[in-house]
Amino acid sequence: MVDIPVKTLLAEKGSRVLYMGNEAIARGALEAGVCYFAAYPGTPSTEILESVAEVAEDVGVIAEWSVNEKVAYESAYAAAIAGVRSLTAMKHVGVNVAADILVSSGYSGTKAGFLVVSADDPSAHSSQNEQDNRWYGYLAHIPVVEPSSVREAYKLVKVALGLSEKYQQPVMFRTTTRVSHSRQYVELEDNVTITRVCRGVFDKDLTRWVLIPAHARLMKERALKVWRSIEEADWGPPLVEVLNPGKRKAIIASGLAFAYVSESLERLGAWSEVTVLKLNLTVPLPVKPVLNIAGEADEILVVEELDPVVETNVRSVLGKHGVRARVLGKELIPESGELSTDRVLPGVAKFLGVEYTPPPPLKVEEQAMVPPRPPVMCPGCPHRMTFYVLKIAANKLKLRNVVYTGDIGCYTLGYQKPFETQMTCFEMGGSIGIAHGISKVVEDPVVAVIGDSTFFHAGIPGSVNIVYNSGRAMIVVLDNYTTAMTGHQPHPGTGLSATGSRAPVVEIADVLRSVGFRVYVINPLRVRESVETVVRAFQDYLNGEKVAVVSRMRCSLEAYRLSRETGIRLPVYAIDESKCTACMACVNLVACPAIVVPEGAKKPVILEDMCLGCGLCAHVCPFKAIYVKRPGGEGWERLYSERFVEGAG
Amino acid sequence: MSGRLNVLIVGVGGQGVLTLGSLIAWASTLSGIDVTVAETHGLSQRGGSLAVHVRLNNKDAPLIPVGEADHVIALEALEALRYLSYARRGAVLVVNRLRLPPPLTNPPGLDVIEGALRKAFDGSVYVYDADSEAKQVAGSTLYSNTLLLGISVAVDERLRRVVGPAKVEEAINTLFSGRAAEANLRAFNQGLKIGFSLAGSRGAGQAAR
Repeated sequence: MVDIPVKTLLAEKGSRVLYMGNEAIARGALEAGVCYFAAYPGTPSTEILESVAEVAEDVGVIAEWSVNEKVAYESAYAAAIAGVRSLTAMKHVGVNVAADILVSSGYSGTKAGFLVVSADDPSAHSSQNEQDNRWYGYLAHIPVVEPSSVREAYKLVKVALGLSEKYQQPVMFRTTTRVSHSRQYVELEDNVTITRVCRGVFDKDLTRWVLIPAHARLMKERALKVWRSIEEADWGPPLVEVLNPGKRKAIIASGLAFAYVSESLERLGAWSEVTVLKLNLTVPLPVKPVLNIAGEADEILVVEELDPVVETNVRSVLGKHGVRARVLGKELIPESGELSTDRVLPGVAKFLGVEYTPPPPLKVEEQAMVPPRPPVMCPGCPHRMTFYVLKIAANKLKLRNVVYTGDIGCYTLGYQKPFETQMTCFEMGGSIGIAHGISKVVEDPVVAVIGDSTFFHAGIPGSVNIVYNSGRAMIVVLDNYTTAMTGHQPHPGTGLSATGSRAPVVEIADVLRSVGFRVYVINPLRVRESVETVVRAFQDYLNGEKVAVVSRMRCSLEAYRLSRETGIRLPVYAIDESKCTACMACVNLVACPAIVVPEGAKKPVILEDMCLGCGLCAHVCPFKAIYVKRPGGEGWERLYSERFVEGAG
Repeated sequence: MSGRLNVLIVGVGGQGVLTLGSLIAWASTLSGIDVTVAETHGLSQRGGSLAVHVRLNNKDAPLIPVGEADHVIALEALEALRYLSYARRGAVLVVNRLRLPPPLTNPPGLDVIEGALRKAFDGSVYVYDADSEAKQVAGSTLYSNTLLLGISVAVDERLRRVVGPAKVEEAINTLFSGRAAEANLRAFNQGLKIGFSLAGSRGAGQAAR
């Protein structure tokens, strides 16, 4: 959702602008002359590339949605080794996808400044894990810079680019959700240079860029030399700051943790009792400042979000130098889940020996009656339609124990009742490899369900593998013409580029056909027809064919947007109370948020403002009690069905 | 910082919870007040329970500690109850009289919810059917969020001192244009009117909290 005027990214020097953390990073990078941006969408990193893409043509920089994080990293890194400042951004698990090139780039280093933004997600708000990517810094000899606020993110992006250039080494800029997706105002220090030319020179430096074993050994020595010089450098603000020096107790706070330490000390009235080492360069651990405070303090508390990365290395540095200060960390500060003042304050109080009892939170017994509200598929969601079609088709063939492997996207929500058509979800593209493995050892039918953007990202190798290794899994690709979950970014199948211009369409069906699959295409908006087609697909599959189904229907949030842009209204359904028998088929089989049973009522109603006209409930109703209350405008089906809709932006 | 004011906005993904957070943030930025807004995006946005932490006169820590929200705006009543523990004693609660049960559940009814909130917060709970009102004055329930913001600004003098009505209007014009801006302004002003009359009927003592 773009709820901030877009061009604020180009606001003039001196103005005060409210930025989301990701926008602040984008702005900082633009000011610092970054000319090439490449990323794959992933919460909480998405808005970095998204906001750059919206001004890329105004400014003359390159902004690309890459097919996955590995390619994004390669593209941006390549520009940097050719002398053009560049940035790639991804969510924490995206770095796993890019890890191969990440580690090699740590050996070869860079020429121009190069940042990889790793947007970590403590508490896994929108992720399958909460891995701490600072470890990658040690693995790859890539320094890690962590901002403690939105405002600092803006400033430190520029500093980190300078750091990268000075040491000729890629730098990881690590944020966490509460920096990436927080907003603060930023006072702009510089203008963004307009119309730049992204031209570099590729030097044929074979020792550096060709990592054959002999060169790799040399490059490893290069990387270690860089590493030692960063460790031993005399660091000061803004990357390393000592507040209130000379106390017997010291707190080391890394990145965002500093904000919570600061509020905790303010609450306890304890700022004067403790030295605080604010670390924004956390990997490698800057040795001198740590030794300095340990020389004066007997006890050190390390406060950091997630793993004891800084803590472990503080212990190691002190051990190596024979310093005897007592180091505390995860004994007092939670190791899993995001931090907050709530979770930091008790540990800080205990460390300082200050009495602190949090006030008992307000509670009423009725709170226990509030049911959890997990995210659900939206009204009109094409995934719901496809899942329904799959279930009905399987039922028609009396296929009872179909194994549906799943993937990463809104459709993961299909794990819930009534569909349960996502029985695994591990990583991007995983549905296909997992389906293959299960199909080799289990008798039941196996169906891999994967989204369009996810298919391009990592689904293609798995598809080839099924054909090559005589797999027995069927593939269903959910093509909703967008990368929906992260907020509707284009992908190679959409015919649009990151900046909104037309791009060639890579047809998913063509890709699968070329690999060797028999491909059935359905439009689940037409339920009956789709069921018939999927029945045929299942029959072919049971006969040993390699079968794939591509289900094409636009994300309903996008169809709704197009409806507003074109003035073509979507239909709205209603329930005829006189025909409704309160059988609850619509409620239980469709599970649409627009169908509710009002308080005290027996029969369900459709919330008119929420209905997006897919009509699945009307199809499901055994008593034909659901009817079109307001017909859609002429050609409304196109909004859901066609890849390009004329008259819409 | 002494003047810190914590506003928690809760609701269901898709109701405009994030937009409301941005509106307050812009209004305070336009007033030169330091603000942090913490949002959640991605999967949690799809019809799930959502909370946005807005901290006015704040330094950097983005999350409101449990028991320290001074003002809660709930776009949905069950969510008000879910996040109740974030509010401090004596906090002002502005709650949409709207109950959206998660699919296939049977949660407590509106009267039970309202009773529970009053039990915990006494006179500082304002429950109003903002969806119907927004539909009437602005043409769609989409604008119930700005209408509730109007009520909030009217009934909570502390909030009003930091985020004045004129600045909210300016923020609406910054974030929206054309018909959307007009509709939001209408909803906001109607909310103000409703809020002032609600506060008035409870006496100046309550309104001044």
